[in-house]
Amino acid sequence: MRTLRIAVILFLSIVLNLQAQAQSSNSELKIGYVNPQSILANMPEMRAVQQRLQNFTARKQQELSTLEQDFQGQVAEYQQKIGVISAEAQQQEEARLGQLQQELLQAQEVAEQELAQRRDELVGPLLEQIGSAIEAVAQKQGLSYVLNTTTSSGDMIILYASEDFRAKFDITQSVMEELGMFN
Amino acid sequence: MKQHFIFSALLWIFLFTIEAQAQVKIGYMNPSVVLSQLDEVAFVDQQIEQLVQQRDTELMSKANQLQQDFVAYEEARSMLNEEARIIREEDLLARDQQLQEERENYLNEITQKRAQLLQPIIEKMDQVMAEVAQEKGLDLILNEATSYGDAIVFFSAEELNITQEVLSRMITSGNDSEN
Repeated sequence: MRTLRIAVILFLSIVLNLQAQAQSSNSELKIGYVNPQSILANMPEMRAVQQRLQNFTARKQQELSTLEQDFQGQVAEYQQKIGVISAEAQQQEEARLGQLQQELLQAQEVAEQELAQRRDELVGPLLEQIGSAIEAVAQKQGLSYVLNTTTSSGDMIILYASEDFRAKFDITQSVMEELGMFN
Repeated sequence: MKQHFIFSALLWIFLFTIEAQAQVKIGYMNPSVVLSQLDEVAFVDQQIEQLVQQRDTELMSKANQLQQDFVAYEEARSMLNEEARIIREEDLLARDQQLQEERENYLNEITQKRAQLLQPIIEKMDQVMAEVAQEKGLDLILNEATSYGDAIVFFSAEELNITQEVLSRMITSGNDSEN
């Protein structure tokens, strides 16, 4: 009878152990999440980046404003002489002004592209630092996945996290610590 | 010995249960689907539509007036001296500029107004979502898709989709607050 009990206990142990192992390999799938945009916004380097981007924008706006004033001046000049020039000259002048307006629109587009490029150049290295810190924290905490909370257009990817889960797996603060932001 | 046997068995079951509980449970939902089916949101959209019509009428009337004044200036131009021309032109340009600014502000105003009116509904939805998550023991709820319609979750078991549950509770609470 005693042997039977021991056999039952051993059997139960083996079966439950196997199940527990199977569960444990599943539960090893540890998922964390992070909000990189909030880290970026709080990085001390961002102040200088914002300032440089503002300066760049102001300079571009000044350039565009000069071009626009020049264009408006030429339009006003044309309107003044419209009554005294031939139809052919009017046509030529309108074509020239049309071309100038087109160039102005192109200059606006180019300025926007340059601003985006400048932003990428300045913010890119900070995002790389954040990426490395996320990786370091994930490895320390044994995470299999780290999800982003929000898309760049502001859509939420994670709509809800339970209080427990948030306390354990929201690694945003840990990543900031890893970056030395609280020193 | 018998007690020892039961104790061992219970200990194992206990450990096994803890292990099973350690698994992350993830649900998902589509907030856009919930919002698109709520009467409160339809009411917000009606208010916004009225505001759009009102602003459209105002801007249209200002644009028409400016157009009329411009035609009147063109007709009178040859009879005006240089100084009077400059004054009239500057006035027309300034009003044109102001109209453009009003057009831009108007779009911002509409977007802000909509966000402001939707805010309490979205807060209520977040609250209901948290309730459902707690009842179902969910650790995380993912968004099913972005507002541009890009899928975040391509596939999952339907029982993990809490969209309809959140929607029906929102409708019920909406009806309760009306009564």
